[in-house]
Amino acid sequence: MNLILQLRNGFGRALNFCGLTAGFILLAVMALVVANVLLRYLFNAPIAGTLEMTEGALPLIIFLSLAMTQYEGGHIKVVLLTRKLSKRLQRAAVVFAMLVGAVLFAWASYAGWMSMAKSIAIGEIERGSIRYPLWPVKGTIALGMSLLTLQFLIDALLAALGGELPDSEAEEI
Amino acid sequence: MSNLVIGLLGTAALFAGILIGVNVMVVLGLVGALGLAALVGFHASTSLLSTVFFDTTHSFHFSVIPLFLLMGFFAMRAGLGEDLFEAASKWLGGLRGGLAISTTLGAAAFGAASGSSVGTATIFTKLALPQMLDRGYDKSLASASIAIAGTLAVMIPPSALIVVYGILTDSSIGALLIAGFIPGILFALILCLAIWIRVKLNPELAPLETRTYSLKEKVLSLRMAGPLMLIIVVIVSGLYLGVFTPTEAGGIGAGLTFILALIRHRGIKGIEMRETLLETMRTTAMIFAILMCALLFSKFLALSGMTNAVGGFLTGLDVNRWVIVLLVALIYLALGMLMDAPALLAITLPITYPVMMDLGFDPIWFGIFVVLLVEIGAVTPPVGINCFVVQSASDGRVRLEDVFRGLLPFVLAGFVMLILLCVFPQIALFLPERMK
Repeated sequence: MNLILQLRNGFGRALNFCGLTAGFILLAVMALVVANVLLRYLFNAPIAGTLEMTEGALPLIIFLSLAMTQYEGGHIKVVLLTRKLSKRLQRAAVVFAMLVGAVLFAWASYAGWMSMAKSIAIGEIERGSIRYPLWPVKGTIALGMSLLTLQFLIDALLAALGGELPDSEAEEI
Repeated sequence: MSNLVIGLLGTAALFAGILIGVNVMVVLGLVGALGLAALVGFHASTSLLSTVFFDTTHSFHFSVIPLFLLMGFFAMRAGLGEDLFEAASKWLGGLRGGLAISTTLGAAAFGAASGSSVGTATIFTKLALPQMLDRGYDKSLASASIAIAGTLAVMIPPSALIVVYGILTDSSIGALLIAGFIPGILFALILCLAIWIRVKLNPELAPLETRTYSLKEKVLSLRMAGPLMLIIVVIVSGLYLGVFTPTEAGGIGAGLTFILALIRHRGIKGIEMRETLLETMRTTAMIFAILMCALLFSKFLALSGMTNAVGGFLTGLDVNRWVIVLLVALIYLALGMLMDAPALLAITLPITYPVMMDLGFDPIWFGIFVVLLVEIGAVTPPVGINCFVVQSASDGRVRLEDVFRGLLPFVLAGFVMLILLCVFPQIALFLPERMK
């Protein structure tokens, strides 16, 4: 039990690092987009590749923070009905929910890694005013989903052993 | 097994999974992927899984969501809520129910920047609730006016929830954002009117404010509130005139509120960059996880023939199309009591959107209509997320019953707004139809 909590915390730190990296990528995107607008209107000299770079950055931003969000319990779920169940059943429902999550993202990770392999094999590139290979983007997607799968498995194990999972009220929109 | 049966089973599994507490995105994704595997085989389903996830996120236009969210978190860090409330209460505090009216308008302006219904409700509970209670305002009136004012955040642009609708239905994000402007402001005014009438009928609810402010004090109160209003005006007019795209508007908005936060804290230290970025990323991941899984699910529903069958059934009913609108509205109000806005849109739009389009409604109009519905759901019990937020942020000064009791007139005001939108669709469509 303690071991798994330690494992979870350690993994969480790594996920936080990924999330923070994603945050800095977003800041860079913000700066790029603003600079592009300013240069376009003031000097009639837009930055070549703004569109392509922003497009390539969004998957990194999302998939690097996907597992962190699960770590914090931030993905939307409905708890209205399960709240009324007995403790045992509640725990069973949580374990089930985590395992189901692991199944989906294990499948999606497999699909993601295959898609990266294919991307490398055919030498897929982003087409536009600048060009870059797409496999690192696809690889990050697969990596993010693999991390999420692991997080779901850790959480399933923790819940099965009777541990409490965090249930932060996700910041709503 | 016929395709339609698979579709029905999938829909049943979706609701069962959600009700036993599985993450909404996981249920949407897994039912979608398994359903597709049953329809077109494991191999095709696996490849759809990676294409849908990649295509949904590999997009310039959708980058608007994290940028709007970042803008909102910067606006919170910059303490702009306080400035707006202070400014509004100095200008309007003398009116009957003035503090509640100031709360509504302050929250409308702050919510516009933050785009977060819950965030706006939290901040205004901390700011406005103690002030109202200290001046002898009725607990129900004070707390309910904050809970409902939070919902204005998602109508007035920039709003991430409206972008979510745009992505799920493949409608123009720019037009949708602009379309929310007039309805958002109109709804704010209707809410103010509702407060005014309530206090007029029962003056005990809100004592008149005796303190007055000089013009100089009033103008000074605008020093931070003014720039924020200016940012919103820049974004709305820039989108309307086609000066920049929604994504660029998001970048500019985030950049400008970042500068305001820097000015407020006289440097970068006070902004707590690390926490701000992590919060933005968590919300971004939450929204996109729902979005891409919902798109997978909606592919499955469409392929199974469910979408067509339900649509055909509803459009085939020999009733006035407004009866179906009413039905759709009731479904949203009922489900809105159970789950959060992005999840609700993700689950329902694959069915309701094609039906509404078949009936000849405008996609932009329906977006505003649905977002308003979902937001009314956000204040109605039993889930009524905004009410919980107000209660828990009030440090025990109000009870949940107080909030719910005070909400009835505001929910009625919401229905008035819905009816206005139906009778005069131009409220939503006037601006987008004239967009460049």
